[in-house]
This record gives sequence, structure tokens and C-alpha cells, in this order.
Amino acid sequence: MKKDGKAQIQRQLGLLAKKQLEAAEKFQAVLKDANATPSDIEGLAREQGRLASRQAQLIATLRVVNLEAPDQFGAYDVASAQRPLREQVLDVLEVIGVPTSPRFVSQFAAIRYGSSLPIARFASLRRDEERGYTKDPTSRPAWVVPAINALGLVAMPRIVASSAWKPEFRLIGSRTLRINHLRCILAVLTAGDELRKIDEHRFEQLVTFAFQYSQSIIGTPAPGDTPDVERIREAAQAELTRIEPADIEDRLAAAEKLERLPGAMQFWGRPSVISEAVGRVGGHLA
Amino acid sequence: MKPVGDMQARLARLRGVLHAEEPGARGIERVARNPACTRLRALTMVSITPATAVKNVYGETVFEGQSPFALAAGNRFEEDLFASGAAKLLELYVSAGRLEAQECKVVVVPDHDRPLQAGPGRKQSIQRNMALRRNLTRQFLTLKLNGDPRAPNIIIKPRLSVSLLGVEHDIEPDALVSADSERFYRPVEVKSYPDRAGKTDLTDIRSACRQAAVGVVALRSAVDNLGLLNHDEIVTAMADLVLKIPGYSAGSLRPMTLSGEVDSLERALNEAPRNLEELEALLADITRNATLSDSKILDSIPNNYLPECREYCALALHCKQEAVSSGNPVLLGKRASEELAAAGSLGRTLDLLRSREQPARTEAEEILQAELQEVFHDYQEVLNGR
Repeated sequence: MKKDGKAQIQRQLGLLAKKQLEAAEKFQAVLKDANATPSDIEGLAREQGRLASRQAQLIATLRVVNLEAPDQFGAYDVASAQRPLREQVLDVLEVIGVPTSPRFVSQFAAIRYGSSLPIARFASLRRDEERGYTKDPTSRPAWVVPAINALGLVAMPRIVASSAWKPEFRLIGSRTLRINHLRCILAVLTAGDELRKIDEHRFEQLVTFAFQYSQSIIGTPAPGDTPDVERIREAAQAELTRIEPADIEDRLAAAEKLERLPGAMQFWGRPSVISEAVGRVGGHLA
Repeated sequence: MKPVGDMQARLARLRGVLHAEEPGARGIERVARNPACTRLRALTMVSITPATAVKNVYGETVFEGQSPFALAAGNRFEEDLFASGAAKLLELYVSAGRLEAQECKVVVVPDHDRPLQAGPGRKQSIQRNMALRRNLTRQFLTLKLNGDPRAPNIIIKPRLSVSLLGVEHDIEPDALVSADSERFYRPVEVKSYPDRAGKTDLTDIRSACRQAAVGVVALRSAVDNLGLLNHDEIVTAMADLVLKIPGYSAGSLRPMTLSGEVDSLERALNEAPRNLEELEALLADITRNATLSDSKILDSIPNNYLPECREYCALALHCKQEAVSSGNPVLLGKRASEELAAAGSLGRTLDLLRSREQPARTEAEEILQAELQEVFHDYQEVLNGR
């Protein structure tokens, strides 16, 4: 949205402020009126509540408009101090270290760096990356690519990875979603360790973030308990020790097959084929 | 069974000007909800939802559907359970002892969707993604039936199909679950209804069970299509319900036996071809080119209004108004409907009670009249304090 969008919202906020003032004056007047009924008072209080909600909505919209302005993110602008979205996503992925969802990337970036990486921008980022790679694969050192399913070697567009990673780290095997979830939590805790002495506020936010994500790990503090970084770390590590070795073997085997595919498919996956002859019961999967 | 093309032509003829709609699990299970309601069965067979009939055939307002708040709460609960590789759902099963810690093989089928095209190609790209989901689901089911160790333990949002009159309708259970030691998957239905143990709303449980039963039928159909005939043994009539624990974002797990629901659904689906012929004969008796998009034709198809129709059918209000116009005793409840069956209507019941000009016409009416008058006499005695 352009600058006139921002001006329009501010104008609406101005008009709303006048209505709020009028509503407040009416409310004051009715409170002074001895004949006023409870329903009169309630009605005016409800009206004030409604106007307050509308104000909150407009302010939230203004925030989004401000963040999505061309001089914040989006168009690559050498003159601007803002880094392109793709570079920020690649940086965050390097810190996390495993393929993950755009939502997690966005949330982690917001807490760790204070950056806003809107989730809605990832769809166009995916398309732009593939187009850029197709045009000239060597034009960039790394690309934001989809994770690849180890079973059929097809892309999983809703999970993002970095093309700079080895194939086995971009592949999703049968247990990899769980493993990557645990690795994401450990990455958040590691990032927290780095910030502990530098930025207490961000450190606590990261710990809370890791705590929320760790609810599914057995042995971690329950909701309502104090987040205990070491307990979360130990529980995640213990589970990884149990389940990761077999998954790595599967992914290494799939990586060998992936590396035999033509160049682009190694990063963007094989084309998805809709086949009636998917496999036979009693036979091997095609 | 006649060729699919012929069947589709017959269904299109019966639909008239209305377009076919995907019924989904809710629409399919409606077929078995009220087997005596020919009107509901007719609409479901030809792929018209009751809501469309209310709006486009009768021109009335639709009062069906969940509240937007309930929908939003339900979506949030589901998203939370399925986030991060279904981490919370997995934890639920491990804590309940249904899965071991290493049985954490999770697949989220929609993660494999291709990006949607903008503009005119969007619809086609959505259909392509749905076909991809069906394909992928079949792959995983095949892995499981082959005893392949790569078969997932949890499949989120699989895409299955149920055949109704030769037309395949897509069904998307919330999830499928299977331990490595189990033969095959069972459906999982996730609902944000609060789990209050013995005080949980039975209507909510029944509704969730019926939808899960559609999942069982779809799995049996998938096993059939993969060449195995003993689908009853492979796919048992069981499912898991995941409800919300009040005050928490966590879920509770309830295994449910669905033999009754699955049987009634399979019976209804198997009877559908005969029902279609009966429907065509019924419409042909009314007028030559009768279609269900004509309100007079739809009204002439017998219905079976029950008080619980409002739980699942948008036509409930319309049918209730018909019941009011005809004085149907079911307005006083199912029990009253059974006990006053001999009278046939509330008006006739009152006539019998007050012994007006028309005496009882049949032996059954005589018996009913005697009972009514005896009860009324007792009622008057009580009122007069005797």
C-alpha cells in the first residue's frame, strides 16, 4: 500500500477520534441525569466500546501499511538501508539450521532481531526465487528453496530451506518433521544463550517462545510452570538421540537419489505427477 | 451398475438448473441420519445441499451453519494441534500410550501443495492440488498395507473419496493414525467442543462420530480400490475423537466404536442406486420433466420432519412449517408422534378428545380416543384438586 493509504487511515482515525469525543460527552451527560435508565448507560458504554475496537483495528492496519511500504520491504532498493526479504530469510534459516515453516521463520525473526518478515510475502518470494534460479542459477550464492520429500523427491512448498545446505538437510523423511521441530527449539535456546548477557528482554522473549513450542516434548515444564531452559534442552536432546539416527540414514539414501536428478530438480524437486498407478499392495512403491 | 457417464446424466437431469456441489463428510453422513426422509436423501443423492435448496429452490433465508466464533475457535484449535509437524497431536498420542516415542512419523499432506496460480488458472491449480493430495494419500496407504516401515504414524488432512451413485466425492478426515504394530489406519476427528467427561454434549459427540464414520467408509473404499477384499477386517469401525479440554489449548483423546454409524452409512450408500430409481419413478409420476430445482416438486417428495433435524439440515425450518400447517404430531416430540399416530394430526387428535361431530373412524382411533379421554379426565380431576 502506498503513502496515500497511510494518509487515508490517519484521516479515518481523526474522524473516529471526534466520534469518540462526542460519545464520551454523551456518556458524561447521561451519568449526570438522574432520570437515566441503566439501559441508557449500557447503550452508551457499548457504543464507546465499539468505537474503541474500531480504533484498535485502524491502528493495526496502519502498522501493517507502514511495515509493508516499499521503503521497508519488498522492492529491492540498493539506496535503501533495508535488506531484501530473501537475504533476511536466508540469514534466519542459517541460524535455525533446518527446514521450517514461514510462520516459524517470521516469529523467530521478530523476537531475535526485531525484524518483520510478513508470512504473506513468502508465496511471492518462492515464485521469485524459482524464476531467478531458472534465469541464472549462478546469479546468487544461495536461494530460498522448498524442502523436498524424501519419498517421492517432490517439493514441499510450505516448508522453506536454503539451497546452500547439503541435500540430506533439505530432505524431509518420515521422522524429519519431528526432528526439525526439536532442532528449531534448540536453535531458539542457542540464540537465547547468545543474548543472555546482551539483551535481557529479548532473551526472556526467546525463552518464552521456546517454552511455548516445547509443550509437546515429554519431560519439559508444563504450562504454568517456570520455563526451565536446561530441562527443555535436555528433553529435546534426549528425544533427538532416540529418533534421529534412523532418519538420517533414510535421508542420506534419498540424498543419493536427489543428486542424480538434473540440476534444477535437486533444489525445486521433481514435478508432481498424478498417477493412477501409484503402487500395488504386495508390491513395491513405484 | 450403469456407466458413470449415464449416471451423471441422470443426476444432472434431476438437479435441473442447480449445479452439483461437493457434499463433504457432513453431507454424506446426512444420508444415514434420517433414512425415512426421502426429500433429504433425494437432495444428497443428486449432490444438492439442503442449504442450496432453501436458498435457490424455496428462496428462503438459510439459518444453518456454525457461528463464525465457533468456526474460528475450531480452526485455531486445529491449527495449534497440527502446527510444527503435528507436535501437540503426537504428544497426545504418546502420552496416552497409543504411540511410542519413536513412532513419530508424521506427514502433513497439504505441505505438498503446489503454489496456486493467479487469475483464470486458479481453479484448475486448486483441482490439481486436490488430485495431488489424493495421490499422495494413496501412496501412504499403500506403504502401510505393504508393511513398509516408512509408512507414517500420523497423516494430517489426507484426501480420500466416497462413492455415491458412482460419483466420487472427496472426503478430508482431520487425520489418520496408526501405530507401527497396527494393521491399518483409523480416522481422527478434531473438534473444539469442550470435553466435560460425562457431561459433554451428546449432540456434539454424535455429530463427530458420524463424520468419523464417513472416514471409516472412505478408508474401506480405498482398501477396496487397492485390490483387497477384506476391508472390514483391515479397517475396523473405530475412530479417535480429539476434543478440547476447557480452559486449555490442549486436547483430550477418546477412542470411539462406530459400528452402528458405519453400518447405517454403508446401508444407505448401498441402497442409493435403488433409491435413485424410486426417485425417478416418483418424479415421473408427478410430471414428465420434474426436477428438484422446482419448489413444488421438492415439496411433493415425502419428508420425515423430526425435532433433531435442525442439528444438521438447513431444510428443518421449512419442513417444520409444513408440519405446523398439517398439524403433524411430531411437533410435540417423537413420543407424541408415535402415540398419536392413529389420529395422524393434532387437529384430529383434538376432535377425538372432544368427541365432536366426527366419531372415531377406525378401531385404532377408537382406542386412542378412549385413552385420550381417560387421561383428560384424570387431568381435570387433578386440576380440581380431587
